[in-house]
Amino acid sequence: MRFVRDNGLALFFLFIFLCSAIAESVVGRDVFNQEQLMHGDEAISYGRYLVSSHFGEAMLENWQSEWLQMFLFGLATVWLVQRGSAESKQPGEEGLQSDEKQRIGGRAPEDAPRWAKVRGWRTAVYENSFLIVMLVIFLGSWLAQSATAWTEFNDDQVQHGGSAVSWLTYLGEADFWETTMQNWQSEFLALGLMTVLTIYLRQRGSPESKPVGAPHSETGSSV
Amino acid sequence: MTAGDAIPLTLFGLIVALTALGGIFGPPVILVPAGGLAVLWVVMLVGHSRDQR
Repeated sequence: MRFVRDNGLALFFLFIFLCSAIAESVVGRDVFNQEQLMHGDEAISYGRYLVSSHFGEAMLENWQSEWLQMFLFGLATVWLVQRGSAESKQPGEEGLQSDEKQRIGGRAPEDAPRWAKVRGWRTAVYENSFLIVMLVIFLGSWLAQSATAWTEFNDDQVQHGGSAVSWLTYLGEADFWETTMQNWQSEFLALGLMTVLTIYLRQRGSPESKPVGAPHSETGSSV
Repeated sequence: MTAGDAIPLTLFGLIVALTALGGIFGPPVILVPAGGLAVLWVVMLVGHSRDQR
């Protein structure tokens, strides 16, 4: 029980992710099969749909933008600040900050992660590990999106009497960039709005908010 | 500039470059978001050079 309480936030999001992914796959198959029947083709099984490019594209085009969003927010908040926002460092603290503040090398406490203490390439990698992992997952998702969307695009082309294109040609197609930008713009808008709205709005008890009575000019969350 | 400083510049540079390639070989309008992303890259470069002074 203690494990569940200590990990409630991660477990809750894992749970609703699985619930939503299952729901998406079920209704996605319905949409796919409706189109199949309209074109005079056969409906496919649920298992076949799970490995189809239709399901893959629908899922991955959203995934890639989420990882990019986290990558960009992690990076932008190093170098840019927003006075009054719960999501920002104090104005004047832009940059990578001192070893003392970041508690690395000789400034690392006894129980610090080992790669934060050792210096050299391991500290260089560890101090950027969040960005590295977000980038790898983003690029992987984006690559997989391009592959699944390419298959979908070619199916559509062939069905409508057009000719199939190579993967590299598809990367220059408006179709690929439309689905990419459609997801990117919404993520960037959400990040910008969250940054600004946390200046003026509060949620009592949330670390994503300033304390309810904090002045609008106070920067950073201190709950 | 240390390796730790160069890693985020390089990683983000890769995203900017891939987006710019989309604008060069695909729809030219993609150069607009590529340019927007590049603004942060410039901010990072300026910040690094300021830190080193």
